[in-house]
Amino acid sequence: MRTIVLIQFLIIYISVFSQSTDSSFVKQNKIHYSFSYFGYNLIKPGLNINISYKLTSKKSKNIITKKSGRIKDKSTTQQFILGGNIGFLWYPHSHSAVFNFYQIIYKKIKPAKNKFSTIGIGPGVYRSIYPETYEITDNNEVRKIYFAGETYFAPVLSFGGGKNLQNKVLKSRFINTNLMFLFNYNTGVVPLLIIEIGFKIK
Amino acid sequence: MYKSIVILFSIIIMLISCRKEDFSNLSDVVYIRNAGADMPAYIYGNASEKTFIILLHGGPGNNALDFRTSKSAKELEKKYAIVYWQQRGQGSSEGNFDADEMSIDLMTDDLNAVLKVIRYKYGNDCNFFLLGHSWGGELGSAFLIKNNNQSQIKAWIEVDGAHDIPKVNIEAAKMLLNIGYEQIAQNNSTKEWRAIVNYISQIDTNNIDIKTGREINRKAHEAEKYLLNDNIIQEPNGLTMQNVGIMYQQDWLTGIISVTYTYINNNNFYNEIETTSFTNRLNKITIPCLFLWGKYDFVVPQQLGIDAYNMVNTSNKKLVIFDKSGHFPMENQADKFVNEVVDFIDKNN
Repeated sequence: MRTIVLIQFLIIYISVFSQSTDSSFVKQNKIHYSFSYFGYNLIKPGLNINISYKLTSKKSKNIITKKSGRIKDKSTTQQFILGGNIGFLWYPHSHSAVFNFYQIIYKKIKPAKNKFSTIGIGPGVYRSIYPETYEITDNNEVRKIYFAGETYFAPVLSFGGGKNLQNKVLKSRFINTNLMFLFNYNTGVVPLLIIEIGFKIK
Repeated sequence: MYKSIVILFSIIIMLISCRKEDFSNLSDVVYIRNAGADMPAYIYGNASEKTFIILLHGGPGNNALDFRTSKSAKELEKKYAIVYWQQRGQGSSEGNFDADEMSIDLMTDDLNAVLKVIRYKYGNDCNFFLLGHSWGGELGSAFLIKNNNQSQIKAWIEVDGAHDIPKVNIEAAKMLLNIGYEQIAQNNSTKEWRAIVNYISQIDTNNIDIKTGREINRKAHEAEKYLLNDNIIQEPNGLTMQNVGIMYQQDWLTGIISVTYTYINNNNFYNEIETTSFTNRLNKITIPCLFLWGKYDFVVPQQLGIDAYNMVNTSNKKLVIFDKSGHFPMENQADKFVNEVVDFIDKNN
């Protein structure tokens, strides 16, 4: 059942985002791609690929003129973004995992400073993949299990920030703190603290 | 061109598949699935003689790889293979099971599953030595007295094992008081010892409930630190780069959170651990036994080792008290620990 859910998530992910790379979306600057180092506790390595679609964007102009005559631009742009993520984590000399999650992201941009901050939340799935695995059957015999692992419902809460870059390929750099909650891990829930460092590309 | 690529590829595949496993320097990870739990067993060391030490780690809640950071483990791995089995709900164990199903009995089934899988993977001629530390002593005792389980095991090594926690609490309270007065008289960590002695003096040792038992356990760990500071307990070996690597491999944060759910929130299982006494059933153990205890172990006092030594039903038994150790003789007096274990295994292999 869980494997089916995982496969469904992957199919939805691939179909939705492969369709939405339609040139009209790209032209409107609504679709963005990013890749990032996705480290569990920072040090257990992983990789995340993100595709995001800008849902709304609202600019608010706020230019202040100080007594000294200096002009300070405090304008902001607020955006709501739909993000899809797919990636893997590697636990050296133990096991590995793949994940897929979706988020609604609120992004606040300060154009004057070229900086932005984000907060996002959304559901996902996480599948740990074990190496050599065996189980004891009802007949008390040992049986090897292929592609063994455990699938968890894995909502993700993220917050972070970054800076837009004046680069033709790398559009911005960012750092995120992600909390991925794995349900039901053993008898309860386990949060994974994942630090993400990445770049947005066109 | 195409033909030669196919031939080359086939040769590479054949070479890889025919590669003989180096038994003298194992470094394997095997997952064992049993009753909803997916438990990794990290197997390191020399298995050329097919001698496997099955490590039953402490806690419940510790990580099997903790033991691997000790100098003792490094030395023992040169001669034998050590199976660092992460018990259900602990360390990097995964799965999905009901907390209410947790019991010591279920965990003895898990241990049976581990032995079966190791035999399946490395052959039926494997020799198993069970080494249980602290809570692992309780689990190992439960395993050995159940059914005919001990027939699978060559010998039992219990290190500061908590096979009788009601007795642990009584003995720990007595020991904290006696050593406490002794240390105050010698002007060692006086203020700290006074606080411990004052607390213990107020306890009715004939009626220790679970909450008080846990507090005694906390004081026991504290007491060991004071003896370490005053150089009565030998300082463990320092941190090495290999230890850093092992700590990196440990999934300690996930383990701590997971175990909180599995054990602390599951009062039924915790109560079972805290109230079970195996002392009177240890006479069912007939295999060779080695009991290794720290003289200054307040967590599981040496009286439990003496009781176990007296109770087991075998003439092939030995009790060793480490005079400069606390709850972790494998760290405090690693060389002596290794010598005792190696002598015992070689004698009984």
